[in-house]
Amino acid sequence: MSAPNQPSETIQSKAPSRAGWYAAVAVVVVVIIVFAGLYAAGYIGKKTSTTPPPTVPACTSFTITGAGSTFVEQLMDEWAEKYTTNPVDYDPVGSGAGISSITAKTIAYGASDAPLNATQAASAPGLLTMPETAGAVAVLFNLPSNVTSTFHYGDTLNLTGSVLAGIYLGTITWWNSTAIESLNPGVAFPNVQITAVHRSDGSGTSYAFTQFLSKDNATWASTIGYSTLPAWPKFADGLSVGAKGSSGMGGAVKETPYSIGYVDLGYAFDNQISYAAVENPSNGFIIPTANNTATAIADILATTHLPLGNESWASVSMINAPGAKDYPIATFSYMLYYEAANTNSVIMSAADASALVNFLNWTINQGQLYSGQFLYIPLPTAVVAADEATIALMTYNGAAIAACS
Amino acid sequence: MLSRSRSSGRTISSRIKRILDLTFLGVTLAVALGLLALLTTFILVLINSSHLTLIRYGISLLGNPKWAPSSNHFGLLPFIDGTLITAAIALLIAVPLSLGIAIFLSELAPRWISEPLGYLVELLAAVPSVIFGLWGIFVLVPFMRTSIDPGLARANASVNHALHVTIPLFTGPILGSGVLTAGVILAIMIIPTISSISREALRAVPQPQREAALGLGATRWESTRMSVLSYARVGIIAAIILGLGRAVGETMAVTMVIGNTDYIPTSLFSQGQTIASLIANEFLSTYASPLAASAFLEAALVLLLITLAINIGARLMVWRLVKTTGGGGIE
Amino acid sequence: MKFNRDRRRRIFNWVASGLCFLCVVVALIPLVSLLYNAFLNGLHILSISFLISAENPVGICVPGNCSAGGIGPAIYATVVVVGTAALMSIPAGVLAGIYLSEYGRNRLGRVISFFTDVMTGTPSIVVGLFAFAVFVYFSRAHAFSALDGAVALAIIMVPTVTRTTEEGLRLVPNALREGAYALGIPRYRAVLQIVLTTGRSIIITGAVLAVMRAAGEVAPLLVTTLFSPQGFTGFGNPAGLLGPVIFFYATGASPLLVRAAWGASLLLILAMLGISLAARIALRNRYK
Repeated sequence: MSAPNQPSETIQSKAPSRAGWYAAVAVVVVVIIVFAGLYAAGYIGKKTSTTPPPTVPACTSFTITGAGSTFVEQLMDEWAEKYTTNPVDYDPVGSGAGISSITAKTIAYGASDAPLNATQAASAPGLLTMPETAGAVAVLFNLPSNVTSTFHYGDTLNLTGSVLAGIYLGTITWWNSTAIESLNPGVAFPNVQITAVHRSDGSGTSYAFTQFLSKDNATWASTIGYSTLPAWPKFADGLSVGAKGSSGMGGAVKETPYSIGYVDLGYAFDNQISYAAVENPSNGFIIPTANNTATAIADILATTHLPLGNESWASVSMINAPGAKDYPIATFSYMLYYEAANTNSVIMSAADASALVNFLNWTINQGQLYSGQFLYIPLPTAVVAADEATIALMTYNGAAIAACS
Repeated sequence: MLSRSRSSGRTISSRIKRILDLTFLGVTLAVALGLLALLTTFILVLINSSHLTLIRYGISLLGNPKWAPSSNHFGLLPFIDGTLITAAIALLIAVPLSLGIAIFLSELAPRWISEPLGYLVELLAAVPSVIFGLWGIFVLVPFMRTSIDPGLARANASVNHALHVTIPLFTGPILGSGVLTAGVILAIMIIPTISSISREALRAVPQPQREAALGLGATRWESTRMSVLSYARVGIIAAIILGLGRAVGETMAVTMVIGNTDYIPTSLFSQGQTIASLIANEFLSTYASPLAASAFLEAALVLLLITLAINIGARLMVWRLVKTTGGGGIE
Repeated sequence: MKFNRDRRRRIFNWVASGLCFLCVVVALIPLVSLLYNAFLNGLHILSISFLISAENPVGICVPGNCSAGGIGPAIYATVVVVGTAALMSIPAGVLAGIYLSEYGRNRLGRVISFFTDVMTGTPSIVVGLFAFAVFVYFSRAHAFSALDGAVALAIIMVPTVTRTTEEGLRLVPNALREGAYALGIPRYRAVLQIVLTTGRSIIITGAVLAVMRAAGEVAPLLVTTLFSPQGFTGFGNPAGLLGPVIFFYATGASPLLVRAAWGASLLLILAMLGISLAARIALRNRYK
């Protein structure tokens, strides 16, 4: 009884030719496989060649996941590449998202340029705060040549915190307003409206920038204040735009003529976006450099007592350093991680915790060597010592965490 | 193999057959029911995750204009406004264009023209949202800023001047990015949806309907307008509603050109935010705060319910159409 | 008089037809502009090394020391994560589609089919939030992971696969089924060997289109896979797929990264063009 097999054969022979279809699918599949293969080969080859010889006790293959600040994105990327003991995965999603994610325990460490405020600290008990680098917030501007203007590309633009606050409050909306022209004597500015670009996501850069505005402008301080995600004022007649991430900020300023924004100095410098000279408390207009940011931080640290890692850092501020040549808008950037590492669901074993501790120690020591090229400020030795003490607070199930390599 | 099982015993083999048949039916049914379960879980998870704000504020969030998550203000009105305004702009632009396309391709053009043109229009639907966003940033926004917006502003100003009114449509400073540009990009993205479903609706009109009109001496256009369009009305409305559904839920292209400010737009040049772009921009920054997370999930729930209502309405119309005309293949 | 009116009507007919044609032209302008810009800005960067380089493109390029980098990690991550999503959604979608077409010609079948249609309209960002909420609840440590992203993409793909399978199988002539039953072939074998084989090309087309749609997704990935510069490093870790790479490069200030975004976009567009053309040709041969 082979009859039941008959129909299916007939059907197959009756089916119209699909050679073209098969060929198309085959080509696509082959292309995908070839690409995947080529890539996987290079990828695996690269990984194996950089794997260090095993030593005892060995760190696990735990991938150290971090997320947060886009301010320190370039440095974190460099660290992820240069640190070879464990794979490191840093996702630049903004300081606000860094704080949320470490609070929700969905990552091993968070990165934020803003310290936790009281509410945030209350919802993340046991979270340690450790500065891992510092840097300047540059005030970006995009001021194209214009017939009504004598300002040219490369000229210095002077701004003050108070004027910036006016721009971001929507009370100073024209480039040729007297508030701006009086700061830049002899320059005629274009008769065009300013577009104030702010960060649309929670951002430590926004935190530092709005803190600066709060210190220099009473209206800003009383109506908006400072936060990673402040309620940006509604403009009655002006232009305000939100951009996601440091790169989004840089892109928005670059693509929007007559705009103003803020981003970390390294990003502005690398991408050749103009940045302004900002007035410091000694009434000097300072163009940010790595040097005058480093002196700003040193000057503030000279008079500031830093809290311990398990205390609140909300009062620590690198804004408005006293030195005559200091750049006024600087900030620490912090790594956030749990004192009792076992309470973070991402860290599943003592070995994982060891891997994290190793990485943290590496970032504040060897890691500091990579900061200069991106115009971040290497941590002063006193801060490194305080950081090491903070890392030493960490425990796993109550026991101190052993080192691995 | 089959013949051997037959010889070994007809009843056993037929029982095995039945068991296998039932198993197969059971598996496919379970998976199909799984789809319903997925949709239900979807809604339940969103309700559960947003219960904090649902209980505390209910739907009053929808009418509250103040959004400031850091101080626990979660008014969603600006984003609902932004969503509705951009979708309305998209429909205003896309509907006439799509109908023109559908009529041209199904009624006027010969097949050898309509086939490739229809294919090209539907290609628009295959382009990922983020690529429209990229094109939006570097092509559409500068074009709107320099070529379209100033003209609209002048037109608006002269109308206001001539009629002594203050129509606030195309007023205020011009940036290029904003709700108008977002609406334009959405229009481009929903044209293939509306035009292809309208085409199906037109195609489902029985041929005698056209021939009757043509036989009475009507021109092609008159036959289309009088007998075809009225016959396909329901399908076309469904197509428009489906286009609306797509416009309401679109995220990336809108996020990249709308300007992302948390306020109710004051004119079509204003920057704004849709529910979808709000989630894309701010969700990760605030989800650790239970109340904020709940507010975002309530926003997502609202978005889901709006799109569900839109899709259910439109699909019901399409299905009724398919059933009454016996046409098939409407996607 | 009558002659005049007829002429007017004929002219009006031509004007209306012309306007309709104009609509087509206007709608195609954005497509042409998009393709033109993608080729203009993306073609010169598309090279084998750009596609397979394991190094990310750098934002700054010092003359004399300029490694162009590429999108190898993102392509790899996209293939792995979208492939996983396909492995989850295509079997499920095909099975559900089989039920709807072969057994579901009843009230229940129509209800499921209807809501599957409705699900195709779910905003992808909401699907992302849903997947994230579920992962945070069940596996907090992997809330941001390639797996989470794959689940979100699978949920987006499954209704499309289901409906195209159903439509495809419905086009299979009933005579084939009846012939098989008459010969005593069990129903499941008839479905698997005869109906599925005959309707194969439409199912494959639907699946490939769903895969391509998933490959260009961004919104659900922003809240699930995050954006890892390393691409794919494991299912439990965050990942960086092609779509988010295009988003982050496109919105940034570096012209080199913007160029890379155009290159990646062109790659997606070419893949889409190729596959939809192939699908079209295949289906035309099949059902004309």
